[in-house]
Amino acid sequence: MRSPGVQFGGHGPSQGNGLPSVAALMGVAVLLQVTVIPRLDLGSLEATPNLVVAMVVAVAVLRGVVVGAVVGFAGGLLVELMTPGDTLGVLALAYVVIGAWCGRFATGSEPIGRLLYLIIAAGAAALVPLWLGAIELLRGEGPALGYLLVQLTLPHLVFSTLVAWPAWWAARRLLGAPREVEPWLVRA
Amino acid sequence: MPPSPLPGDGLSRVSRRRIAARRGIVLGLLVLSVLIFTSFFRESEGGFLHSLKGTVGAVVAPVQSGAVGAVQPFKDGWNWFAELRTARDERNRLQTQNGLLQSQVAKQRTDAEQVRKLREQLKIADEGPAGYKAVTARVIARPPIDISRRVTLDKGKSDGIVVNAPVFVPVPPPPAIDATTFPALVGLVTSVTSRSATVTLITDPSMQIGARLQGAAKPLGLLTATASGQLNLSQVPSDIAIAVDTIVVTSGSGTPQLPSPYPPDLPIGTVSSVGGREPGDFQTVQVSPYRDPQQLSLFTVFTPVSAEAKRRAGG
Repeated sequence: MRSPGVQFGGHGPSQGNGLPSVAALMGVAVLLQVTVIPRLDLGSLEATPNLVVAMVVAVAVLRGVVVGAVVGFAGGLLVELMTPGDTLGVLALAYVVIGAWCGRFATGSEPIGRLLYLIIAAGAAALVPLWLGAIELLRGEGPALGYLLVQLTLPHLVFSTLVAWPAWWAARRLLGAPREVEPWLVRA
Repeated sequence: MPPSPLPGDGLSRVSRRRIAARRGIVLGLLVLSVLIFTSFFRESEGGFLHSLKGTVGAVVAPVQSGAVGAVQPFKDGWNWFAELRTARDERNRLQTQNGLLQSQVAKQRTDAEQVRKLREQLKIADEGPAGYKAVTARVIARPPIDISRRVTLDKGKSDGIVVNAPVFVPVPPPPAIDATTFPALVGLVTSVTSRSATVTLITDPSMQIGARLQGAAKPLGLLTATASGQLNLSQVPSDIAIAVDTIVVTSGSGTPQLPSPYPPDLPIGTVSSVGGREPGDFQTVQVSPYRDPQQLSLFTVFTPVSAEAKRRAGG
């Protein structure tokens, strides 16, 4: 059965799939992530808020699997292209998985609430340093587990949860209620 | 209007096609991501993806640099506010000074700290190693998660910065040294564009620096960082007695074909502990950097000027 919230491409702007707003939200999130957020002075903690992953989760739960995966890929790739790390595509891969998985909530019988979103966003944020740590481990330079959990993952989770609420507020305000949008698919 | 439901087999066919297309898009993005990151690891520094990353970095560098300037007043304001609160506490405790004066003092402190930092940067420009010219640069970008310890600076080729230029910060000298500050090594320029430079910090696991104790004639070992950022000096003969707090400096040694990019005798840090036996009568020494490079926002890049310095950078 088709989910009642699914919206196909080809619908006029009167119904509005919100994709320009999705692009604007992700653009602002990426821009803030690579410019202002690294300037935040958070003491000796080696972590900064991850606004991009919070926005990927917000957009995915509001617009579905396909949009979530695409914005995850684009957001992860852009952040890696604009920051001085020695990887490319690693964040994109993680964010595609996060976006696609979170997109499943867009067609749920009950609209997702703020609290559930925060929990999902926090979990997604916690996965990112663990994923990067695993990649470094495969390259032979993996961090110690205690350092990874206490110094990187925990502060990353806390700070990212703090920025997740404004991300959710902005996404809900611009995109409205959850509904799955699949602009690349045609009706039979 | 949502699309009207189609009866029977038609509906199932549409649903199946939709699900298949959805899965195809997600799978395609996953495969593309894997291709990108495996290709990035495999290709050389001059490869397409590395060049693309450098180009995007160069394009976005002015925006990042502008953001640094835009955020600074807010940071200064926060510092001012924090110091103002401290001043109010002090006013209440002492009951002799008024709030306005305290806020002025707090602001002056913030200004004085900025002046001190700038003076330090100017001082280091006069005290750099021979054959190098100092270029002061601000950090404009950091990785989203500090597993990779690299930063992007707001100066690049147009300011004379080249790959393999050593990067320093001024630190207070030990009592034995008669100077206001002296330069401590914190990293190496590993890629550069016209308007930005990427510095790999000494706390990045990919860094390897030939080091010795200050005053010692021979190179002592190889300084590397763990993934947690701890500096270890390995391959140190176990018969050498090493005291805690001894200064560790660059050895500057290499081969004629592959010279060290670091000039000799530049301080890196001090011995924090000695321990860790290695096979073959070697020991490992733990080293503390003078400053945690990840906490810094201003760096001094020594760009090579003399022939010897250029030869080192070319190595």
